[in-house]
This record gives sequence, C-alpha cells and structure tokens, in this order.
Amino acid sequence: MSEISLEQMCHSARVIVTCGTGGVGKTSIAASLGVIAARAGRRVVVITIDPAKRLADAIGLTESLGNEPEQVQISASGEMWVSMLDVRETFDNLVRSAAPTPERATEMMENSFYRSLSRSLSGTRDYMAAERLYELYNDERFDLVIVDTPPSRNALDFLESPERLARFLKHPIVRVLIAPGRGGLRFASAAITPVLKAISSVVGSDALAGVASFLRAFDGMEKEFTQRALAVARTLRSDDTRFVVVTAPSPDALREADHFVSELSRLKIDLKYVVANRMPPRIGDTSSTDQMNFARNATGDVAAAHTILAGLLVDAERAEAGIDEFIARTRVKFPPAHLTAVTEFPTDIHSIESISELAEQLAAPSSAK
Amino acid sequence: MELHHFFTTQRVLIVAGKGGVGKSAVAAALALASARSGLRTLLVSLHTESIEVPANEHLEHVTVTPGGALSDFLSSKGMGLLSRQLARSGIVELVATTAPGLDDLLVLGRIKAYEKDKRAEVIIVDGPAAGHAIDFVRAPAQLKRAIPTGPIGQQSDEVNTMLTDPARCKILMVTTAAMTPVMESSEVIHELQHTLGLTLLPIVVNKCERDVPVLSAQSLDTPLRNAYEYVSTRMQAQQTALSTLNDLTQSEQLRVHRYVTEGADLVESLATELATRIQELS
Repeated sequence: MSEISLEQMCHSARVIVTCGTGGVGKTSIAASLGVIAARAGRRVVVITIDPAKRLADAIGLTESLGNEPEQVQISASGEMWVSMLDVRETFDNLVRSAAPTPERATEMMENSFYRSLSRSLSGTRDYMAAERLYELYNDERFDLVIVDTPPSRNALDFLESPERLARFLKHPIVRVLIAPGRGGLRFASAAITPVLKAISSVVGSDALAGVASFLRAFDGMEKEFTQRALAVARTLRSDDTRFVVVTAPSPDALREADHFVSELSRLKIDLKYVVANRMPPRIGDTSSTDQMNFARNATGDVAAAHTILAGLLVDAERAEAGIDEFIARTRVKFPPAHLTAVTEFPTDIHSIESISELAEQLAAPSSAK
Repeated sequence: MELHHFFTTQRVLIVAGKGGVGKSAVAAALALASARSGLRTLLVSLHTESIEVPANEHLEHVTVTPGGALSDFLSSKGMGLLSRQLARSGIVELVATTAPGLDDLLVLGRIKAYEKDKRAEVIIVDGPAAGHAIDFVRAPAQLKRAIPTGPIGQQSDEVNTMLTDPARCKILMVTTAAMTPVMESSEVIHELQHTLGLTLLPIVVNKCERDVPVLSAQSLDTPLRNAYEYVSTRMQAQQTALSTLNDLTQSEQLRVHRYVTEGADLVESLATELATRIQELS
C-alpha cells in the first residue's frame, strides 16, 4: 500500500527530515539514509541541530563538527558530508546577506541583545536550523539534505519558526519598541503602555534598550528575512521533501512518536515513512511460551538457554505488538505510511561500519506488514 | 550508606539525563525510596507530561512550568496585575526573549522557594534533558551578567548560591550502559563539576541487562546458540560502556536493571532496587 520504498525515497528526495524523541537512534538513522543515498551516487549532506554531539559520535568522528560540512570517508559512488548547526555563524551570515550595508550588519552584530539571542535562545536555534537547511538545499555541492531534528518534543517548531518571527515583528509592543527612534526609549517608555514599563522593571531598562536597538536594526532587514522564511516554508512543504518519524518500541518512545504524528498532521505535512528502530531480535520461529515450556522440560545448559531465548522473545513480542498498534494509529491519519523495522544491534552504534550495516537493514525489502 | 543520610546530605537533588535513559522514572523512584524511608519528600517535575507516581503518605508531586513560575515571581514582587497583563498581551515570549535563560531562572527560583519554605525534607527535581542540563544550571550566572541589578539580578544571586552549595543542592546524572549516553553524560558531568562548580551524587546506570550464565555454546542448537551469543555480546558491550564510564568520571555507580513493566509498577520496582543499591554504598 506504500508509495515507494525507503531506499527509493533516498534516491529521489531533495530534503529528508527525521524526527523522533531522544534515545530512539534517530541520528544513526539519519546517517544511514545518507549512506544509502551516497551509495546510489548522490551527494548528501546530513545536518544535525542537536546540541549534544551525537552525529559525530555515531559516525565515529572525534573532532567537533561545525557549520561547514565535512566529508565522511565511505565506499560509495556518491559523497557523504556531515555538519552540525552553528546558530551564531548562521545568524551572522543571514544578517550579512540581509543588511542593506556592511555598517548596518556590524551594528546589528555588536548589539548586546543580538549576541545573547544568537548564542543561547532555543527559538533562534529552530529558526537558524530552517535557514541553514535552506542554504544547503541551494548549495550546488549537494543533491540531498538530510536534517536530524533535536530530540525534543518541540523538534518540529523549526518548521513554524520563520512564520513565528514574522508574527513577532508585527506585535504591537514590538512596533512600539521600534518606533521611538534613536535614544527615545527612556522617554517613550514612561508614556506608552504600562506593560512595557513593567517589563522594564523586571528585566532592567538597559536590557530593554538593547532589545529596542536590536529591533530597530532588524527592522530594515525584515523584508529580506520574511522572504527567506517563506521560501524555507515552501521547500519544506514541497514534493522534494520527505518526513520520516523514527521510533523505538518502548512505551514512552511510542507516546512521543504519536505526538510527532499529530504535529505533522496539524502542520498539514504528509508523512510517508516510519522507521521502527531498536527492535529486539526475533530469533527462531517459536514463541516465548514455547520456549518457557521447553525450559521446564530440559535441564542444565539447554534449560538455561531456553530461558534466555524466552526472555528475548518476550521482548520481541511486546515490541512487535507495540509497533503494530502504533502503525495502525498512524495510518488513521496517514493511510500510506510505510513501515521499516530495524533490529537492534547487540552493541552500540558508534562507527561508520555499524552505520553501513544499519543502512543495509533499512534498504532491505520492507518488513512491513 | 543509610537512606536517610543519602537523601538528606542536601536539600535539593536535581536529576538529569539524556532522552531515553529513563530519567523521569529514576527521579520518581528516588522520591518514592526517600518517602518510603519516612522522609517528607517533594517531587518536582518540569514538564506537564510526567510519569505516573505511586501514592505514598510522605510523597507530594508538583509540576513547575516557566509560565506559572513567572506569574508566581511577579506576584511575590507585588506585580500580580502585571502578570495578568502580560498573560493577556501574549508578551511573555518577549520577556523571555529579552533575557535568555529567564524561564530557567524562574523555575529554579520556584525550587529555591520550596527549599527556603521547608516545603519538604527532601526535594527531588525531575530535571532537564542532559543537553539542556548545563544551560539550565548556568542560566542564573549568565543572567546575572546581563541584568546585574533589580529583582532578576537578586534572584540570580540567590539561586546560584543554592546551586553551588553542596549542603543545599546536588546533581544526580542518569545514564544507561551504552556508549553514546555514557560519553554524553561524562561530558556533562565534567562541565557541571569543573566549570560550574556543582557537586554530583553517584551516577545511576539504568536499564542494565541481567547477568548471563556461562553456557557451553557448542552443546546448543541454532536458535538457542544465536540467543546465547546475542545476550553475551550485549553483555560485553554493557561491560565496556560501564568501564568507560568509570574511567571517564571515577564516580560511584548505582546500577539498576531493565524492567519490562511501565508506569507506577516500574517506579515501585526501581525504588526498591535503588534503595538496596544506595544502602550498599560505603
């Protein structure tokens, strides 16, 4: 009932966004999809916007990754590159390209509020992730951009952040902050809304003055920012982009996966692919009950081994039941959602070799029911 | 170590760990173990979708969110009207944007108020994910630089004093015995201890696999041998991760097993096992 396989998707999509909660192996899946595409001759870049340096770990890169993509050595006819979002650098680049003059760009970048904004705010990170995605999408070096979203509940915020910024700039209070003109805030704040005065009493008038001058500097660039924001939004909703929800079979991971499915549905984004990662292995063709019976009728090492296998089968049966229910719920919203199940490795995935093995499992003919 | 001693060497215990390691279940289990030992315990969750906590007469569970903490803070400064205005104008976002980290400071301030009011003998915070843990505890110091005076500056000072005083507050990291969480936890622990001057309790290693008996693999048929080899390899990987954790942090470890149960049942089992492990500490 599915459109095309996960492997074929890696051959044709221009943008792939993986989403899922922490601990489900989302980063490894993103990297594996990159390997599949590179083996098909494509030039792929995988970007992570996760502050923990997981992608570097997963592909065995010890150096800290940065904004500038680094090529990974793999045997493939294409190329695989990886990069980690640097919020500050992306924001600086955006300001440089949006500012009418270099002086205005410098003024903006020296603003104290801009500096704290570009360093530490999670909303900024979401926005810059969308911006960086758009830059790489338009970068001629790459045919495919794979985005590994942060492992948080709010991971899909970055889809809406460009619009949110535009809305924020139109907020009446923000307009008042922009309006007073040079040095006018101190005088204006007494006269204008008590809300503004009150904000100032909490955060201090210096901080608020910093915000006001930031917003004034930003104001002239608004048009350019908004246009880019709209272009990013169009790309993410275009037929070039595919979303993949990654989950593990544990109850908490499935609960979070349900949340992502609802979010995608709310954002009117089509979901075609689900990856069930970290599935416990199903060894042999018996059930856990069979194995427990065998264990009772055996002795010594054989009995112990039957008990071990029974334990593994209990895990496998629970996991399969959980995933079956999840995919049934998902297909209510997204009928063609295609399921690929991946068996958990007994060891950690932290080398490019294990990523390649994972890629083989992902590209194998679907185990979907 | 006596449970009473473990839980009362500080008044606030912040539990941190990356997604998927079972941080919320461990925080709830610690709170339950503390309450079972007769201590009046408060479990503080920082997100609304929190775990089911078993009932205990000594255990209270509250959720603190930045929005709620902001209106509490403003009311306590005699600005209740402002807090209602802010809520109405939808400008809370601007306040938070004006001072990055303000939401974290407000939440920590709420926890500090619980501590000061002696709301409980033991306060356990189901803290932020590992990646965010550093930002969370660094927020007061950062804000202090941005806004040195006024109510925020004062609040930053008070919260920072609490965080860096080991008699008042310690951090407990949760990890699992796999390489990626171990590496990440070690980095966070290093940063918390050496850069931020916080004190850490032993690390909880959650979801450990049960010991594998030594069997003679040659005597087993294919599916049984495959099963045995799978669990043996998994156990080796776990041992490697545990010794890496030991090498990187030199911290004591409280190892607890993986359970197939969930919700309140899981918290009950974990609380029992954690209590045993704590009592085994020297």
